[in-house]
Amino acid sequence: MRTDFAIVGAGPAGMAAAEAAADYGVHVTLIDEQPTPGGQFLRQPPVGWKVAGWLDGAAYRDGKRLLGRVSADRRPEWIMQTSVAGIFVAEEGSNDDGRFTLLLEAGGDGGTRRLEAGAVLIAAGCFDLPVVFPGWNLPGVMATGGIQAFVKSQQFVPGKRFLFAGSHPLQLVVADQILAAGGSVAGVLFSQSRRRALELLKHPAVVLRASDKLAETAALLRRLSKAGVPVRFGQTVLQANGENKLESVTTVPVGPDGRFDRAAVEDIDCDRLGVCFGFLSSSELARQAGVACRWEPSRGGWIAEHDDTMASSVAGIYVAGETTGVAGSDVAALEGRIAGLAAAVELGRLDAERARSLMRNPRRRLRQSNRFAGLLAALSWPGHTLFDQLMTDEATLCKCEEVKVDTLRHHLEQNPGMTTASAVKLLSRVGMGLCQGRYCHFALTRLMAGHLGIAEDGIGGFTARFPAKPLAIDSLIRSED
Amino acid sequence: MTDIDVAIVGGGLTGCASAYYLAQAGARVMLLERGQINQGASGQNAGSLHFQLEHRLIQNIDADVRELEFYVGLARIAIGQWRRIDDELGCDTQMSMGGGLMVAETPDQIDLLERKSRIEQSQGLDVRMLDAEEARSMAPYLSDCVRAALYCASEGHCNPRLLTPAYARKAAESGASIVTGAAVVAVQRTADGWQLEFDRDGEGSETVRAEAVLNAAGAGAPAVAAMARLHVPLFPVALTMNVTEKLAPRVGHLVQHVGRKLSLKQAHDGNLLIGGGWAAVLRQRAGRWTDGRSPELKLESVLGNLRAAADVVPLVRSLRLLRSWTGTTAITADQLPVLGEIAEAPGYFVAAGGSGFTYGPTYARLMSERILMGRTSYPIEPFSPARFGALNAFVG
Repeated sequence: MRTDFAIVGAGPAGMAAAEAAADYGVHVTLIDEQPTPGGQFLRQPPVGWKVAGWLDGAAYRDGKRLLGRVSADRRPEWIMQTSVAGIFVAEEGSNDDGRFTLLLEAGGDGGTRRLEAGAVLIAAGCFDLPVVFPGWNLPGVMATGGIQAFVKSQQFVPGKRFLFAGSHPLQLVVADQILAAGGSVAGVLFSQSRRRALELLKHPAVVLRASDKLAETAALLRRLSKAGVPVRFGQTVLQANGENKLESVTTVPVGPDGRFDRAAVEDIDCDRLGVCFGFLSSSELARQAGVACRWEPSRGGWIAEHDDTMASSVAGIYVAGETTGVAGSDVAALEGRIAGLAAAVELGRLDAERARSLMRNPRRRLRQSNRFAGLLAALSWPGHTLFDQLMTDEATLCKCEEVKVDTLRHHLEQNPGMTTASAVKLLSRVGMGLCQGRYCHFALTRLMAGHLGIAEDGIGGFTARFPAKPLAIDSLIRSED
Repeated sequence: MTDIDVAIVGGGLTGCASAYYLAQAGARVMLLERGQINQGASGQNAGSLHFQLEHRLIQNIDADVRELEFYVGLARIAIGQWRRIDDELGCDTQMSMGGGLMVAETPDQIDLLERKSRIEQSQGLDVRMLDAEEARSMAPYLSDCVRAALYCASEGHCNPRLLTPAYARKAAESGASIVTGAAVVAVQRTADGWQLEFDRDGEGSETVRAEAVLNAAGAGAPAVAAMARLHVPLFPVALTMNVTEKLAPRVGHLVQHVGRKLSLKQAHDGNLLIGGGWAAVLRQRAGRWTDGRSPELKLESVLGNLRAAADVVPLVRSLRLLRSWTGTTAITADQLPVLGEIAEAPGYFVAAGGSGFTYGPTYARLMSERILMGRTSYPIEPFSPARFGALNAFVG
């Protein structure tokens, strides 16, 4: 298969890029792991389902319009329920059809196939920041974003009694969605103090630019309060308890300095704990393709670097959306539009001068949206002290390989001079399992920085390898025969 | 006046093991590693202990008989050393000597196995031919395409992630100074030895004066030698390795192929490690090899490697590929290691190239003998840098 422009991820960024590039005659192919476009933000009901009042809120309005337009657009080619296992850059001077070869794996043992492309956009989204604490690996402890995925598209409540702990406002949205879908919520805990949250919300940029978002938040709080759901600030999870499955959560007050007051712990009964302290960029495909990334823990960990046309450090590869830093769907769609126009220029379908003028408006809006996203990130970031206190010796840091925090500390003590994540991975197996390090690299970085007293960015990520996700060998060999 | 007896450049297996053997014998040792311990080929290879002559060595078997005999002789020394390695290091390196099978699928390949086995047997290596039935009864996981196999009871594998750090810890316990983040930038001859200048993570430079230098920098050895205005004729080679998800213990042997690039084993943790010499692409800058980033993975190599694995061990097809990675090793023109002193530069020793995982501990032990006593318990002359003739005769 061959295309001009391969877009990995059909969320707001990918859809906006597809629309922008297709407008100038670029042949676009969109690839997504889900059966329907929209990404996590606009997660659609399963095919054939009708969900009453699906994503009714004002926050989803622009996104749903984009989704409606792009879904009806006959120009792009869609390859759904398919993941990209790797992106290979053609050797210089080779006669390959395209500059890039994407190895695609269709879900449900649909085999693999290759897509040759002249340019690529990686808009692979993000996933919930995994936070290590004792019991986080108990069944029943979930990512709040994961809970939302159930309730958002299917109105399905995956549990009985939910407690939410974290620092991100998404907690309020999901608690509200759980209530609306008929679930019970034991409480919503924010680790920040109420005062800090208010300070940021009163920031002029937020009040002026995001008054609709503030109004939405106020409405959420009203609804939760009316339903008797306690929303508490300066509280967080200390550990999850239960035999084989979650039975209760021990919570702890967090002082203004971020320190836990372990004398005042409290147990709350629940069978589901949603954890939401932020998100990590899915930058592994970009890193595997050689795209330069930088470490920004409060914006998604390793995030892809780009210029003002969303071009990455690898010529022909563009990045947009959460892959460039977690900033929400408005930013994603604007970045996607700019990337789509830039790719049209690179592919010779759009004049550079004309593209510059077309980018002016999205760039201006991007600056505004980024300002809000930056404040939201600052508001939502719980701070290192919290992670450091949660990561006690008995906690399991790497779930796949079952490596505990104290084992890693022991390795660090026994092997002075070992200061990179890759070196610790080699010695301890942390990050070598099925998740390919997605769920442990952030915690390992934090552990090493704290333990060794060195900067996080110097620790480096795990080297991102092919395949981006485990790949069925039979399907690979058969398809390529 | 020198500060130390031996400065070792390179924190891979050979460097760390040499540091241990030298320090244990009482020498004052400093090991300089530009990055982290075990970050190069020593930690990236697939951990085979292959004492049979490998696929790559027997492509011109008739022309190379004498060299190959020497090489097989080294295997006997290495096998004895590996058997004691966990006791020696006082830790579990997940070393296993469950035996190794080199398989053949065609009459030509069977013939090659037989010729190879004669060289090996002449040097006292315990190998024996198995027919298809014997091979499958010993290794039921083998496919029907296997027509014969050469079995070596001492072969196996060890965890490359654990071995080098274990040597580094023992070296430090024995008094060696292990300095990481220390890039050697200059090497000069002095009246009584060598002076090395190194940058510590970009935070200024330091110097150390040593009676002897051991260049154990692997693929980086030529560049390190160049600082002393010496030539070490090693060439970088980029290889591909693959690992599958875990499975219950099924494959108890090291499996290799006499006619195809394949090595396969089940690691201690349950994953299958699949390699065997499939190429990756060394990166270049301005027409020169660069070693900043790991070599570029070639999809064709992954496919070729997995096909060979699935043909010989069909259960591979039922597994998922977890990760493919690349690493850089180094070879000489005759594929044998470079071990010894450079005659034109007294006190400058090299130990690099040539199945550096299987033989790394042995190279280290022999080089420590050579440096401290001027002689070795097994002859290393066939591996001497002198075999490359006048390369260093004109060095000023």
